[in-house]
Amino acid sequence: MFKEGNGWDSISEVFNQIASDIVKFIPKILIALVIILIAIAIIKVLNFSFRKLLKMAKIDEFFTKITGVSLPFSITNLLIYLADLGIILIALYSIVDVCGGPQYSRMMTDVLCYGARVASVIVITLVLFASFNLVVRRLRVESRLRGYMLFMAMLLVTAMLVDVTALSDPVKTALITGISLGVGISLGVFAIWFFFHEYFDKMLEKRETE
Amino acid sequence: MGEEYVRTNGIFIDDRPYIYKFYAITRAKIMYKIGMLTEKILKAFCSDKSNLGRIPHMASRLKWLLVAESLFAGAYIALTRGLFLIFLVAMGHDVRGISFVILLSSLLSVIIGLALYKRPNFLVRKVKQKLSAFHLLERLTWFFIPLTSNLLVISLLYSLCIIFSSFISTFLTFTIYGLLPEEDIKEVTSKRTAAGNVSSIVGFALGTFLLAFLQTGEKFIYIFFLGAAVGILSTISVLLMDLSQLEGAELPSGIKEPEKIFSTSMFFVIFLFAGNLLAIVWTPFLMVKLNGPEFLVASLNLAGTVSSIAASLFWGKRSLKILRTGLILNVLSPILVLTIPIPFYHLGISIYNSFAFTAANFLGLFLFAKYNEWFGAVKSSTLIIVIGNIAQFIAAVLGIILSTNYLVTFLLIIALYVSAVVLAVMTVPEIAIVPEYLARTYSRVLYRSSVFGYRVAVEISKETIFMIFRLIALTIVFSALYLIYRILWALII
Repeated sequence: MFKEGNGWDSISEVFNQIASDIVKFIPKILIALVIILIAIAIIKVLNFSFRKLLKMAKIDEFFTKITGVSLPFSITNLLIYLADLGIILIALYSIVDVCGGPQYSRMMTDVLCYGARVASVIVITLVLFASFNLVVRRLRVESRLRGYMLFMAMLLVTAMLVDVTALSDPVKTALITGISLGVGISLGVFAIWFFFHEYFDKMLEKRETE
Repeated sequence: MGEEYVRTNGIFIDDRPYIYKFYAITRAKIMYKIGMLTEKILKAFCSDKSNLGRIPHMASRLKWLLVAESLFAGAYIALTRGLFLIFLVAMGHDVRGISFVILLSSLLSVIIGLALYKRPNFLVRKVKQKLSAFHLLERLTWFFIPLTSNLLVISLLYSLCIIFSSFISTFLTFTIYGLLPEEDIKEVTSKRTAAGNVSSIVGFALGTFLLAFLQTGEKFIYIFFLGAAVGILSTISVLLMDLSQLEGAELPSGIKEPEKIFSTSMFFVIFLFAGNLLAIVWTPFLMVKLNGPEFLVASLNLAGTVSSIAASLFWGKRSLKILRTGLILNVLSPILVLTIPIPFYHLGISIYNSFAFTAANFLGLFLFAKYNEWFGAVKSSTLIIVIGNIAQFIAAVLGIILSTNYLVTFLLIIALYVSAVVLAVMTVPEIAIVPEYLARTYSRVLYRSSVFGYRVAVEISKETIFMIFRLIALTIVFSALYLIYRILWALII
C-alpha cells in the first residue's frame, strides 16, 4: 500500500528498485549465459570424443561378450548421458551460485540430494526388476514362486519409495519397520517351506493316513 | 692424329706416306685385338654389370684398399670407441648412464639395419659418395665428443657415430660382396680381420701409453683427435676405391631359397648373441667372482686379439666343413670360463676362444658369400649387418638384466652356442652332418613353423595392442566422468 500523497514517489521508488535490480542482475545473466555457452561447448566436445573413444573401446560388445547379457540400452549412450548430466549439473550449480548466492545454492544442494535419492530408487528398482526377470528366465521358475519373488521385490521397492516420500519421520519409520518385518517373516516362512516342504508333506500324509 | 690430316671442303683426305698408313693400320688392328681380348676377359669374369670388379687387376687393387681401410680403422676404433667407456667413467658417469648410451646406440643400429634391409635402394645409388661421406663424418664426430662432459650431448654424438658406423659397415660389406667373387670375399674378410686386429693392438698400446703418460685433464681430447686423424687415413683408402660398378646394382625380386637364408641367419644371430654376451660377462666374472687382477683383463683382450690375427689367416682359406669344426670347438669356451677358477688360465682360454670364434664367425660370413650369387650383394650385406646389430642389442639388454647372475648367464651362453651348432649342422645344407636333402627338409620345416609362429605372434600382438588401446580409451572416459562428478561434488560440498 502506498502512503497518501506519496504514491507516485513510492511507485517510482519501486521501479527504481526494479531497474537497479535488473542492472545488478545483468552481469549475472551475462555470466550465466557464458556458463551455458561453455557448458554446451564442453558437452559437444565430450560427446564427440566420448563417442570416438567408446567406439574404439567397443564397450557394448565387450560387456556382452564377458557377461553374456545383452542390455536393452547402449552403455556408450549411458556413459555419454552421464557425462552430459554431470556438465549440466555443474553449469546449473554454478549459475545458481552466481545468480542466487549461498542461500539458493544450499537449496540447490537439497534438491540435488533429493534428486539423487529418487534417481537411486529408480536405478535400484530397475536393477531389481532386471535381475528378477533374468532369474525367472534362466531358472524357469514356477508361477507361484514367481509371484512370491515379485511380491518381495514390490515390498522392497515400496520401502524405498516410502523413504523418498514427504511423509513425517515417525510415519516413515513405522511403515518401513512394518514392511521390514513383513519381508523378514515372509522370507523365514519361505525358507522353512523351501527346505522342509517334503518333510511336512510326508508328515501331513502320515497324519491323514492315521 | 688430327694434325696428320688435311681438311679440304669438309672431307678428310689421308695424304700421309704409306709407312705411316701401315703403322696406323697395324695399331688399329692391335687395338681392336686388345679390345676383343678385354671383352673376352670381361665375359669370362663377369656374369653381369655388378660383377665387373672381378677383373683381376681391379679386384686386386680393391682388395688392398679394403685391407688398408681396415688397417687404419682398427687403430682408429681402438683409440676412439675402444676408450669411450673409460672416457665416460673419467667424466664421472655411472654404470646406468653408460648402459643407456650403449643401449641407445645399439637400438639405433638395429633400426638402421632393418630400414636398409627393407629399402635397399639407398645402397645402390651414389655408393662412393655416400660411403665416403659417412666415413668422414664418423671420424669428424670424434673431434667433438671430448669437448663436452654433458651425458646427453655425448650420447647424441656417440649415437650419431654409431649411425654412421652402421652405414659404413653396410656399404663396406656391400662393396666386398658386390665386387668380389666368393674366394676373394674369403680372402679379403680374413685379411681385413687380421689387419684390423694388428692395428687395433697398436692402437690400444698407443692409447694405454697416452692415458698413462698424458697428465693433463685434456688427454682424451688429444687421444680422440689422434684416433680421428688416423681414421681419416682409412677414409682416404675409401676415396681411392673404384665403386662405380656398384651403381644401380640389381636387387633380387624374390629370394630363391628363403629357408636357407633363414636357417643361416638364425644360426648366425644365435651364435653372435652368445659371443657378445660372453664378451660382456667375462670381464666382471674374472674381476669380481675370480678376483683377477686388472691387468689380466687387458692381457686377456690382447691375447684374444693376437690369437684372432693368427686365426684369421689360418681359417681364411679353409673350407666350410673345416670351419664347422671351429664352430663346434667354440662351445667349449664358456664351459672352460665357468669351470676354471684360476684367473691366469683364462689367458689360454681367451686365445682358444678367439681362435674358435673367428672360425665360427667366418663360417657365417662365408655362407653368405656363397649365397651371394642368388641372394644378391645388397641383401647379403644388409642382412649380415642386421644380424650383427640384433645380436649386439639383445646381448646388451640381457647383459644388463643378468649382470650379476653369472651362473645363469654362462649356462645361457652354453645353451645358445649348442643351439647354434645344432641349427647349423642340422639345417644348413652346406655344413650339415645329415644328408643334404634332410638338412633342406629340416630347414624348410623350421622356416615354415617360424613363419607360422611369427604370424600368430603378430596376430596376438595386434590383439594385445588393440586391447591396450581399448583399455586406455575406457580409462580416459571413466577418468573424465570421475573428474566431472568430482567437480560437482566439490561445488556441492
